[in-house]
Amino acid sequence: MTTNIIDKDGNSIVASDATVPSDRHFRNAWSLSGSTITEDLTASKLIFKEKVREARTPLLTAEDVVYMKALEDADTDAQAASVKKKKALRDAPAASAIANAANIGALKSAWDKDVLGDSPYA
Amino acid sequence: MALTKIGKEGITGVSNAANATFLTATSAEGVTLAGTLAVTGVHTVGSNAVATGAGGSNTTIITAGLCKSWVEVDTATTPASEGSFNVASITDGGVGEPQPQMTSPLSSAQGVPVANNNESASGFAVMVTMTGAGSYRSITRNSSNTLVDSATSLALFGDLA
Repeated sequence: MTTNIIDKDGNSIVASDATVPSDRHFRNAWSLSGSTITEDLTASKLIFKEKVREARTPLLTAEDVVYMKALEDADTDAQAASVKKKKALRDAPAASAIANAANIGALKSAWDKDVLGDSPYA
Repeated sequence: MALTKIGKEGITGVSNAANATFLTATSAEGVTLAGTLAVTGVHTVGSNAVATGAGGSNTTIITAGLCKSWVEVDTATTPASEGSFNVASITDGGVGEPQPQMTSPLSSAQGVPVANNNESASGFAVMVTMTGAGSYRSITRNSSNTLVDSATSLALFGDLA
């Protein structure tokens, strides 16, 4: 059965005729030129940032609990540590490594696993 | 002339033509068959064919109730069918958006598509809509409302053209 691929701009090609990226992490950033599909870097960065936001949401929720417990215990050190973690999570989509990534490989490497956990791009 | 009728006087209208119609019964002349009807050739059932329900009283129109297209599609890689009926091709519309294109379309885009997500991961929601008389599209999202690739089963009901 034939599969047709539509790129981010609506261009279409039969899948068996196309050279496609090795994975679908940035599928919605695919751009067709001739018979070759590549990942548009600007669009990929937006997808990457959305993935960061998706990953940090449950981490922020969990950290809110940590902070509340530290507040109840009047543990200022724990409060400061929690504030630092939450700030890192909030700042994660704005990391310079994302903005400065020159290619898809560098973009995947921009995932900060110390802040966000395991990378979905590993 | 073809063999057209079995009347009170016996078989009438006999023909030896190769394409002769074996038997014709008018609307007032039903045919009752108590035994098994075995058909080895194509058995065409018209849009007026009905089936009697298990309760024995209500009937349903057979063609209206049949699934007109189905496909199991996995989008983990380039979307591919893992089994289908009345699907000519699949369009990869993006992450989590396979779009089956039918071989024989419905009479309009007013079909009833249904979908099921085959993944074991929790929180996946799959929606499906008609995109035309001959195509439909499913959309799969995770619990974060993010489009995700997955294995999806799709089926479509409606009236063929």
